[in-house]
Amino acid sequence: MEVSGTCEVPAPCADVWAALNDPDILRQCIPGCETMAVLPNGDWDVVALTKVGPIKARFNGRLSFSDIDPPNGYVITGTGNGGVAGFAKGRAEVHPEDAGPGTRLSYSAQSKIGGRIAQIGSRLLESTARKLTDQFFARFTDTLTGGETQVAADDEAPAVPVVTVTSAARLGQAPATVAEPSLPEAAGVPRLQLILSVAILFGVAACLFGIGTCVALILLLLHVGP
Amino acid sequence: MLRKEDNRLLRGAARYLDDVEEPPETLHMAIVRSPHAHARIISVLAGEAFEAPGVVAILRGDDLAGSLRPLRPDAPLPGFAVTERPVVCTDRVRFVGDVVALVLATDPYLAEDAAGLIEVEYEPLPATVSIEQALTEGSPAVHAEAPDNVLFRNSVVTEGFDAALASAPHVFREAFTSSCVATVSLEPRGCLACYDKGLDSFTLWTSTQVPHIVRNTICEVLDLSDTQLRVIAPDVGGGFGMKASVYPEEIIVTALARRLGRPVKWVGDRQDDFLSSSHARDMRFIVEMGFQGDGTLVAVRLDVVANAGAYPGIPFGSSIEAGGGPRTFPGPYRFRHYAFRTRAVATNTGPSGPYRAVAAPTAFFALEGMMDRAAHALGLDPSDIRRRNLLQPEDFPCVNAGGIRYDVGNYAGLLERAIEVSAYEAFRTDQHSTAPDARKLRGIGIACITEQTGQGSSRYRARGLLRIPGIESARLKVEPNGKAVLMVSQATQGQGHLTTFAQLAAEDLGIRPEDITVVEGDTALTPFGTGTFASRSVVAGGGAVITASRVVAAKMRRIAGELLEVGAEDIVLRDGYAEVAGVPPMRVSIEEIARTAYSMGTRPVPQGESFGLETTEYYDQPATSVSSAVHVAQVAVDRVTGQVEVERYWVVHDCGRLVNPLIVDGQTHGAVVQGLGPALMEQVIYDETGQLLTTTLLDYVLPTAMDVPDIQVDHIETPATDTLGGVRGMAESGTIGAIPALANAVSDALRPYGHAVNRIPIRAEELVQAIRTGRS
Repeated sequence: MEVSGTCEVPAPCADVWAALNDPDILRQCIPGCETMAVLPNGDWDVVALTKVGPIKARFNGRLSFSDIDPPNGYVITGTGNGGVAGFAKGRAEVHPEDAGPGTRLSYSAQSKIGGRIAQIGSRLLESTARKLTDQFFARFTDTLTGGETQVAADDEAPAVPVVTVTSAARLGQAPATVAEPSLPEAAGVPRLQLILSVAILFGVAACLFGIGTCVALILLLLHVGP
Repeated sequence: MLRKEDNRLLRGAARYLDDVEEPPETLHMAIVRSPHAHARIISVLAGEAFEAPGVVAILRGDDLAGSLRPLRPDAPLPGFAVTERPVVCTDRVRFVGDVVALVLATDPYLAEDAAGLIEVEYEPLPATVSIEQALTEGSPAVHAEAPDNVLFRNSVVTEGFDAALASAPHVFREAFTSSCVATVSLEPRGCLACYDKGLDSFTLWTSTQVPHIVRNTICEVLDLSDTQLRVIAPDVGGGFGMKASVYPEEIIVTALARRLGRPVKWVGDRQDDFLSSSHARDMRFIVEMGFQGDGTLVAVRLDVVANAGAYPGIPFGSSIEAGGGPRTFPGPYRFRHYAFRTRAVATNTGPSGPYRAVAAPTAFFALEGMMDRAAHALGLDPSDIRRRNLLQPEDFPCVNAGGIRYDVGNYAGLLERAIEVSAYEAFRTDQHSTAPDARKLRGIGIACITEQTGQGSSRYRARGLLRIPGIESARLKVEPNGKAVLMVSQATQGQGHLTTFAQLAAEDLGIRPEDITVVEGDTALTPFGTGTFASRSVVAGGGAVITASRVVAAKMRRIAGELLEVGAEDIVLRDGYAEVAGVPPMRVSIEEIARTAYSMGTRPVPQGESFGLETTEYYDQPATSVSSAVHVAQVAVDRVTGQVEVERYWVVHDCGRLVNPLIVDGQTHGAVVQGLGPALMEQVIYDETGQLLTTTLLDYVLPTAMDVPDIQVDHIETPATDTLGGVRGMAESGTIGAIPALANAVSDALRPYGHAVNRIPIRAEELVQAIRTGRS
């Protein structure tokens, strides 16, 4: 299964990068995440409760990072075991890049799914993957901006990201694409003002980018290790 | 005659496996299955499962290895690689669905919940998941005994073949592929085992087509005496060949009933069924055919590969499709020069087994597809090229290029009748005058097919299938009240045996079919035999029934002769009476004959005659009896959506003497639909890592009533000369004919775009693409 897309985050690139390397932030963003622990070798152990169609399971996952190129991106390799529900192995490339006052975060992930979650039908897998990705990026954005993004239900266009999901098994089927994103409008105009002001603040901070980048780099090295 | 069994079945009074009364203390089994296509088992930990409510026992392969011998699907004969199948995996799993651990609990839901708590650690291994991959050198070996993944191979060349093919002015070569399909019987598999400790004997209820073969196999694996195990097939909700295999679950519940001292039951759900019940028809035929300019077929070369899955089934083994395909390929045609190479390969996918007509539908997909292509290339109508090549009445009896004997047939007559009832020629005329840009592209397709039915022991021995006896038997007993019980070594799954066998017996006995009760599917009641598959019932079972009926009828005539003081040869048995021929008032009832035979009458049994009116007779069909049919399909392809609509459908077939035309038509309809499915929509899909993706009816598409046209069935009766009663089997010919007829019809519809069907299921996107790119 392949999932790829972009997400517009109204925060500077450096902050986005820092957040992407912060276990506490990610723990809040990963849907169903119960615990996340950083291991001495830099790998992360994650336990997340996930529901795919009729199958609900607690997945134990191990994430490791490679090809780290701050602040341009990294590669996450992960394995997850859900007991009788099945297992997953995957690899994701994450690239934040400057987009004006904000950041465009693009990601591309390939995964192999096995066991019961693979068997129940890739249709459900695709929509669940899309929904979980939406939820992740909505929370991620909120954490960075302090806002409250509503995640749309499956049949509406989600507020933030453009997600393209293709499944290797669905030969010949066009990938399902979601409508173009627009900035969240959950609370109307005042909210937009808040985002703009936060963006300006961060933009100012970005001017001090030298400091910012170093701090981010130090944080990064502390977390990821040798 | 209406079927005797329907009243009961339609009123919900049937007892399928799940309806069988569960004895007190019955334990329910849930199975932990492998999520990997190929892996080493590192550890199996029960963890929290032991404390889960209702759980009584948890067992792994290691716990059972001592008491369960591994299964050996193939005998050590030339051409076979002898592999083993563990009943429960110990160190290695070979397909997604392989049995890893068992949970026994007081109810099936608690068992399944507990199974979810078991932690198994695997080390995934590289897997081989397709025929192409299996044939590639260096692909991961599924079994150590077959490092090249070939489980069965055979090749045959007739004398003078190379010269004959070289001399043919027109040679055509194509590859035909049929995709893996599942059976999807309405009732999934299930079994219930009970053990009597005092008597040291077992009773196993199982949804099966082959009770005696199940018994033999389980006794072999558990080291029991045949006398210790009784196998009963209750009402079975569809078998179609899938339930003609012996499965690990049947063996496991039997072993555990003794080990745990409680009855053990397992019923599969639809997911279990897709994962673990046998798959079939993942095959590739590469065909080369040499023709004369006038369309005469001179020589055929075949290269056949069949996917046998991770484990070939028992008792049919790895050669069932790879061996059967080339043997049946010659069909109704005359050609003499034949060369083939055939192989069955192992892959890390589900176990293989027989499914309605086995390899024949794919074989005729290839053969009949080639006939159409050759016709088109040589400027002949498809019907004409067939006329040129069909065996003619004067050719019979003959032995086909594959070594199968045909006694007599009317293949040309079938084709002419089919052309007539389908208005084929009118369709051709209209076809040429249809606007080229019409929304619907119409096509008509013909398939001329043969079916090998009722195979006897000589065939199974020749094929190396030593677990299949090939014989059938019938125990017939006329009770003192003049009504009869007929116990047959068969196991019906809806074919109407309770009616057909009663009709056959009634003919000789003179007892009405309503007064003959047929009993099947119980190894304690029915004598030893093979079971019900491969269209064998009316030929092999019927042969035993007829033999037994004639023996008892002869005795009844002798007793009647004595009672009426005439010679036995002057007695006619009819409508419950024995009459003197030509003098109807001089008669005695069969009841009185029976009472005499059981010493309950006024007169004693005649001097020299034994008591009782009962006999057990065995029957072995010499070789096989070949029936035939012609199918014509008319389709409309929507040029925008690629959807195929089957507009009209005709079958003209010859299965010798018809015992019950209603049942024959019913079998034909069902078989045609089970051909329409694989032709247009059914496919079992594994991804590139061997994960099974089609495990629900949402993803595995079956034909519905909306997809099925009105199927017109017409009969010709050319009585068989090599069976008792002139009957031939026919239950699978509907499937054999439907796949090639539909494929040829779609190819015909797309002929203006230069596209022909080489693969089933036919996909809408393939047709739309062909229409877009192939504008001629």
